[in-house]
Amino acid sequence: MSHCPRRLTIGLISLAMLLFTLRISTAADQPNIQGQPYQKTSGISGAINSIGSDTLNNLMTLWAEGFRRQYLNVKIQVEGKGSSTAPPALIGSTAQLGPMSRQMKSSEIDAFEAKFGYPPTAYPVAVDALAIFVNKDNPVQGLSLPQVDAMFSKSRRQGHPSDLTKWGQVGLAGEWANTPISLYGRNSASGTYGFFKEHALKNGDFKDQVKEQPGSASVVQGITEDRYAAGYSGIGYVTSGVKMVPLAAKSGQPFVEPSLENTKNGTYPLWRYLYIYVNQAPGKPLSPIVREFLKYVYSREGQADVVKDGYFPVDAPLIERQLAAIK
Amino acid sequence: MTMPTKPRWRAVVDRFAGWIITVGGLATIVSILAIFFFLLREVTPLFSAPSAKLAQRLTLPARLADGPVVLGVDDRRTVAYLLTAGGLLFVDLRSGQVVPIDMPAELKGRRLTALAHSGGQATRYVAGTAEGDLLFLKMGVSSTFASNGQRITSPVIKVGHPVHVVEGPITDLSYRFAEGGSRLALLLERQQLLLAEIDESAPQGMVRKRLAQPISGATSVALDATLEHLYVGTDGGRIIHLGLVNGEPDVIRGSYEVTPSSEAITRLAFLSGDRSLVVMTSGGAVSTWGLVRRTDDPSLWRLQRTHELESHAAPIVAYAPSQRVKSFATADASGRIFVHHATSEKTEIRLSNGSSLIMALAIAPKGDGLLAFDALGHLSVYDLHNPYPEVTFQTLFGKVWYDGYERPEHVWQSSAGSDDFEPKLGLMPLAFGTLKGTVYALLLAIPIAIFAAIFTSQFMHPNYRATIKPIIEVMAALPTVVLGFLAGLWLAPLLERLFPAMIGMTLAIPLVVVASALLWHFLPPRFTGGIAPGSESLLLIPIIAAAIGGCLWANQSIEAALFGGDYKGWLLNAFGIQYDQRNALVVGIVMGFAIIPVIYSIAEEALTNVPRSQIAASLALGATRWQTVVRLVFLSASPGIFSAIMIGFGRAVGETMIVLMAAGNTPILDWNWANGFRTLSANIAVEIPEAPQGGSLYRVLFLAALLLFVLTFAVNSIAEIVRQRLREKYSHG
Repeated sequence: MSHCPRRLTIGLISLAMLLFTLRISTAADQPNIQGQPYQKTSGISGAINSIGSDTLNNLMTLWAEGFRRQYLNVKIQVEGKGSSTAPPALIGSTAQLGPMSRQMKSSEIDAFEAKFGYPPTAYPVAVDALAIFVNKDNPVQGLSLPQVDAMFSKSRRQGHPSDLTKWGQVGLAGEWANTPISLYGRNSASGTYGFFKEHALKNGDFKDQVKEQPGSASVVQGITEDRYAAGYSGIGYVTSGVKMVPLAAKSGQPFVEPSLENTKNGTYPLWRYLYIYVNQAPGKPLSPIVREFLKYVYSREGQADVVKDGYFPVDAPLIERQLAAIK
Repeated sequence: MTMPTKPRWRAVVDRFAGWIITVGGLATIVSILAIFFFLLREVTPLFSAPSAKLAQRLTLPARLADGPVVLGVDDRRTVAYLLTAGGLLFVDLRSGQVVPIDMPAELKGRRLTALAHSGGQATRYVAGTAEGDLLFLKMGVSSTFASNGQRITSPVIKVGHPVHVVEGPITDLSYRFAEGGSRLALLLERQQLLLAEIDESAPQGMVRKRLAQPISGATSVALDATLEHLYVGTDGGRIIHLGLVNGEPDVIRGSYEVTPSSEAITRLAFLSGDRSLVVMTSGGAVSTWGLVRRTDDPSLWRLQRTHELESHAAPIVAYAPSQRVKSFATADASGRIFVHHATSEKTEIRLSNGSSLIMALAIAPKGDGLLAFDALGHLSVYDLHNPYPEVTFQTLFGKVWYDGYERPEHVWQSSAGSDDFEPKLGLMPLAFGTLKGTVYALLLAIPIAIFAAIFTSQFMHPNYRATIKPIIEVMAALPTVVLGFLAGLWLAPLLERLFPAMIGMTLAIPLVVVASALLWHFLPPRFTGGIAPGSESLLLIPIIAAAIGGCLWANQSIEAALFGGDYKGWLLNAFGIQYDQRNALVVGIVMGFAIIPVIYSIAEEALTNVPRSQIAASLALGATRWQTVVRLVFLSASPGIFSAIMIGFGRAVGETMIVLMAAGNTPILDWNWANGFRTLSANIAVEIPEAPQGGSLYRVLFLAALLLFVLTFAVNSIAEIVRQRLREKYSHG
């Protein structure tokens, strides 16, 4: 049984769904883009493969396009089916870049170390706020994390006393009061799934009723078509058909919009770094093409792409630290 | 094409063709067997027996074994460390030598009376002393890389400033690290309990402390990861559960008897994840306990025994949890060591470490080694080989009581972004989903395909048949990805909106068809005469279209008339059915659409092959066309129709893309048409890219593939046998 054609088909589906999804970037806050303009060097050519996160898929494509404008002789292939596909690809050397929307688990690092003798290196390249999406017609004003947990999880580790299955139980009235909440989420290969499970569910288990979708665009598309839906996904996938629910870390606290400011001051509870993992042997330089790609990512152009895709850029001290590590 | 005419050539070609066909047939059989054995080879390691063997035994000074001991080892099993009442020691396991360290000044001259680990994968420990002080330690092994890429491992010891909490010795303690205020539960002399919150980074540390009520006969304490539950074990064999919510006065929430014979509790500890309690007694009993919500008040908790493990024959004296899976090791006073897996209730490894008292145990971080330190000062290192502890026949196919669950359940939830997650690999929901999808698809496809086949082969005008059959067969050429995409994103929302209209159609279409047939019957021949027999049914097309159009137009009125204006609410109230947009009905329709051409094509072939002479004979004897079809043609063709259905079944069982896109992939056990399911095949497609090669999930997915293979193979074999029988009975001979 070969799963390569399936890989292709799923890629095609995600692509098709992307075409269906009108993308708008969050223009509400124009964050300050950090980083220096990219300095082109000579002698960069060859091909790189990127296999990993679906959340980072569009962003990797944007970076690849920008990078290709700098170096015409470079070929970049981007495949994004879920963060959990990155470690096997790095270990098998089928990819040089492993974008991930969560940190590697120690079991994944172990497998990498078993092959190479040293751990993989992570570069935080962007900041993402994980948003709870509902249909654009949904009147909900905000949710607390314990409520989100009680909607999505059967373990309810955030301590909500009762299970939440209807919109009426989170305070909606009228036609919404008695309608069941239809849950959408990502498949388990996704870093978004893992991050959500760890931080919103406190490592509890998802309800069996959560409909697992093969991509973030597919989650958003499902919610657009399903009036009573709720789902989670990276903020970069917001469309006009859905809206993001302001969240509170604890019940009783004020609801907070997912914005750059609120992720920086930590009041929005579900934010995370997005990473690119690379195979960097200790004491040895990176291959020139990977090094230049990472430099491009941390350049002003690369960070502008982050904003263009709807995510948040990383701050200046972090960029400096990472650029030092690249050399 | 030119046919060779010479007899010699004909013989050569004949032999050549025979040879090619034989090779082709054999190759098919060989490749099917190869697939079977490949799947079997990937699956069998899951059920191999775990093993353990002594790798080395070092002799350390026996004075170390005087008092409590904690034992640890780094993830590469290069350096082990021991913290004992008599001091701190690092041992290089490769050379067997003690690693020289500077003994921290805080440890000198103090007598440690109780030791605890902060839980999880952290390397934080706390020690209580005979003087009532607490020492916070970070202990472990760091590994760095030299400029030449060489790995350097070195011991790490950091000791915080001692914090004086109480007068008199600390006899047992439980420790949870937190920035700004670690929480501790201490057991003091005369069964006093002390709860303390201590900021380890502040010079004088203490945030607050308070005495809880004394628990008579207390032997051990355990504070869980949520900091809301404290458990105390007693020498009378009871677990006392205290609630500590938001600093409110501690309340005894419950008291539970562990064994009927009231054996004293020797140790309380947690499984990895720090939620499930492991209780060990002086009689050697081992059990795990978890919190479940109380039925009378869901905001309160009750402790519930979840698993009973194999008992030791002597009091249990040492315990070590695995850091990644729900395994743990226990040792008794007679030197026996067991390694258990809590969820599967299996004791995987039984070791005898000699007859001396075991002071401490440790499981290596990667689960590949076990360390034991005994009263004679021996440090024994065992190699463990147990790569798939969570997979047993019972956990795959039976109900399992997972950590944190309220009851045993069938669950599929294979992975998470964190390490202490317990994979839940129950195949029942997936096997069930496969059957559910197949049944709904066949319910729709069999009647339509078989009736269509009877109609086109027996009733329809032969001119139309020549065009209809290829058109239906073209349906099979549609890629299932496209069908799945349409099902998930077009049909599912459409059906949700137009569900009342669809119910209306199921009533309206049969009605108008019967009505127009009656009308046709009574119409004078001058209206009906001009139409060729077999093509009158074409007139039904506009009538059915009108019925469909009418129902769509009347969608809202039907909803108002039949369901009181809200069909979802009506379904929920009348049947308790929760309508989900991605449901079995949608998949049934679309997957049915995908298998109709397969069933139709084979069934039509079989029906057409019934000899015309027999039909003519039947008609000539005075049977009507309907009688001829039902009593003769259908029976004669039944072997072929049966194969058609079985091939359709096989196609539906293995169908992947439609279910992947449209079924919602919810692993639930529910026959309800209004919610989704998750099939074995879609599950393999979704999860195989993330499954680490050779890991539990990877092999379980191969097991799922093997199940599908065996299922299809069995169904096809049975179908073939039944077909042969039917053919013998109703052969056209």
